Amino acid sequence: MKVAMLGWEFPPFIAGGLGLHCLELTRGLARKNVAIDFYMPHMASIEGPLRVADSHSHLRIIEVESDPSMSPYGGRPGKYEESFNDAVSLYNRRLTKVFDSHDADVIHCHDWITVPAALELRRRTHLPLVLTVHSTEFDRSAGLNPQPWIEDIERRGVRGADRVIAVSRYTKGLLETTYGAPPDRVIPVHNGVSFTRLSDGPDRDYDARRGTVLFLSRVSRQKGPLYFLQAAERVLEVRPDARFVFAGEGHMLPECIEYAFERGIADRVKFTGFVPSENMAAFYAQNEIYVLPSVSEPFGISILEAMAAGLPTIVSKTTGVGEALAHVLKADYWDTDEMADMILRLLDSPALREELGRNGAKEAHKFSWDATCRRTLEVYAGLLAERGKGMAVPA
Amino acid sequence: MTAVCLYFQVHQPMRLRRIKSFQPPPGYDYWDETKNRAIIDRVAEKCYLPTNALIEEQVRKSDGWFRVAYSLSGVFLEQIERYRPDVVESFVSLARTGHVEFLEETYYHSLAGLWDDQSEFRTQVEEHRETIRRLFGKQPVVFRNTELIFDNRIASTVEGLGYQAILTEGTERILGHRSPNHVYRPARAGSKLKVLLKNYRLSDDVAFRFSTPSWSEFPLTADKYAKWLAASPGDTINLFMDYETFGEHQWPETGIFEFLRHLPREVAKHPHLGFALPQEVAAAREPVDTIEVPRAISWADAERDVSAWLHNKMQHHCFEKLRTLAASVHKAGDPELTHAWRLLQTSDHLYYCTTKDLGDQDIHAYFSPYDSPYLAFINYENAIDDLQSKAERLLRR
Repeated sequence: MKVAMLGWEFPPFIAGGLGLHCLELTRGLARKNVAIDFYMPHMASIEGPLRVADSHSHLRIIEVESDPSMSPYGGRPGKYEESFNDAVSLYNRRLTKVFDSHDADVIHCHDWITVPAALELRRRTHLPLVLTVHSTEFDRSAGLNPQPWIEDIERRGVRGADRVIAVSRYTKGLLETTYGAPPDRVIPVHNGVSFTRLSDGPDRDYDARRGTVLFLSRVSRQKGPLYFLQAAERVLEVRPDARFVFAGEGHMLPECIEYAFERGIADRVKFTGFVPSENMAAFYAQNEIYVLPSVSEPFGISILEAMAAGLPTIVSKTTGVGEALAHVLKADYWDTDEMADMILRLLDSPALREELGRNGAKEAHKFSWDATCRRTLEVYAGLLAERGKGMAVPA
Repeated sequence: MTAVCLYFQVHQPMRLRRIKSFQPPPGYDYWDETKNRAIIDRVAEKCYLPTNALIEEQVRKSDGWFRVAYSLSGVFLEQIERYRPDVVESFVSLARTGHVEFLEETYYHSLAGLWDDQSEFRTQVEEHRETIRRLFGKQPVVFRNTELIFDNRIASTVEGLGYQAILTEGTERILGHRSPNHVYRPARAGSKLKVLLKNYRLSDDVAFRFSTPSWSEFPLTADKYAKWLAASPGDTINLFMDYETFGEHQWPETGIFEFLRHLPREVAKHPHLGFALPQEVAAAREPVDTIEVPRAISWADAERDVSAWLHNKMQHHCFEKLRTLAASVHKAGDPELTHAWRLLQTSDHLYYCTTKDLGDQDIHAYFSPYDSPYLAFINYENAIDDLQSKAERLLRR
């Protein structure tokens, strides 16, 4: 069986989790003897002389040039970098032109940035279309001023695809309520996670008093950074010796720093700025509790990473991964009193830290890309069976 | 003659309300009044009232040939006195038949029997004895500890308090290949305490498997069940179960009430069977052998030990903290404080904190008012901490 996959980025050159997801997914599919043509824009500026395709042999990577006059093997920088929105529409237009995977059984695209081309290719080739939704405009905007034109593309995508893979039941629910996606065509499949660099969970000493509460995330409205600071404020009223570490950068960072000064808690909150991934293990080791009060989180791999490192973890009820987790504490993202109470008890109780930390680490390690790939194959199989081509799918 | 000995456990914990450490509740008001009242109301309608009526009818109709025993926890009695006097009345009416036995237990359905110092355990037993005397005018002579928890020391304390017999789980861990259908006694030299053991297969056939369609014996009828009883050799078949089996765990639609209604008549078809109360079995039968229980057993979870309440560090922490509070609480000498401290000892609060996975987690989750064992712990420890600080404040005065 063969899949034509429409993506945006691929390791080693990635900006976010989408590229990582595509790598793990295609590796798993390739192990099941699925052939893959992977389309992505040729971002010459971040890549330099190296080609993505040189790093991988399990799939065929087609880097789509921005300029039609360019040969696929040329090295001149394209025009994708000028603005993100322009790059998206240019890439989609170019994709429909260069697509040549006519022997594929399925087209599989990822997120709104590939939807216009995917819908057009589905129309032209009559191939069935699978769309994976990693996040929606509602998540990214935290429900505040979502961009209608992006919502429109997402709506067309989830209604027009033959199957929609949502990264959680939470996201499936959002797609059904906000976009009217047909429930029987939306299938929740959780992400996997691989923990090569963070797995010191079992050796953690829970009796050691670190006394610090960690926020480690992109500082955007979606991640609820102000709720973290409000909870901190509440904790400090009763426990003035508590300390908070606010790690990460993003457009809301200035607002958060200002808030901390305004509320007189700036001397208890350490703002560290961006944390390179090689330093994350140290952050997990040095801090006591991890809190992520996301307003809307489609999945939340960072939650699993903190848990895998053995940190007792508090998350909002509006996360996708949370629906599959028993060994975390969950609160409504706006309920900062509840979060503060959880933090206070965790700071005081080694027994709670240890039970939550140890069991959480074990639970985080249960998420595997194998399971994600298996379920994705089941989605393909269901789709092809419907079209009377069931035999082509590997077991 | 083989005795069929029915005993029902009736207990409802007082569930905690959400207590936040920075919002201490007024006084010792840790309880979720609304939830507790709602649960008592619901179970009263679904189980207590209809089952009491059915049992009383069967007892009266058979002139006391059909007879049963109850163990009513003090925490349960306290709540029905407060919320449902009609349920109290229906138990009083059962007591008046003269063919219903009330067993002794700790008033607070606590784990005080596991403390090294047994004086708190004794005090809670006395409080229960006083409550049963006040409400029903009876003096229990048979003891059953919280969740059938039993070990050598508990047996010894209970015998010291003057009880004739004690009930516990008939687990292979203490029986080996011996049958639970006989009376035993503790191994301690000179012990005269009779030990009645739950026949867990036949008990759980009703309590757990009755409405399970995948069970090979489904559906279970009174006629079939009576035949199984008749085919079971021994002196006594001890059928011990939660009273909520009738109407609450097993819904009326499963036919559980019809089963109970027809059971006396079906048992009567086998001349060598007859219903007997625990005190009658204890009086009529001599121990066939001894049992030795250095490590506590119970009727809970697959392990049949005390790990349902004392497995993880959170549970041990709360258990220990409450135990070490004894000195301050006694010294403070405030009856309200003491009562709240004891209500916090109710075993259910620890049960909600379990993190054991496997199959048992489902059972724990079924009974828990919390979304998570960690939340259960946070709330429980907040209550314990608040009680501790209030006790300390009293002592400083």
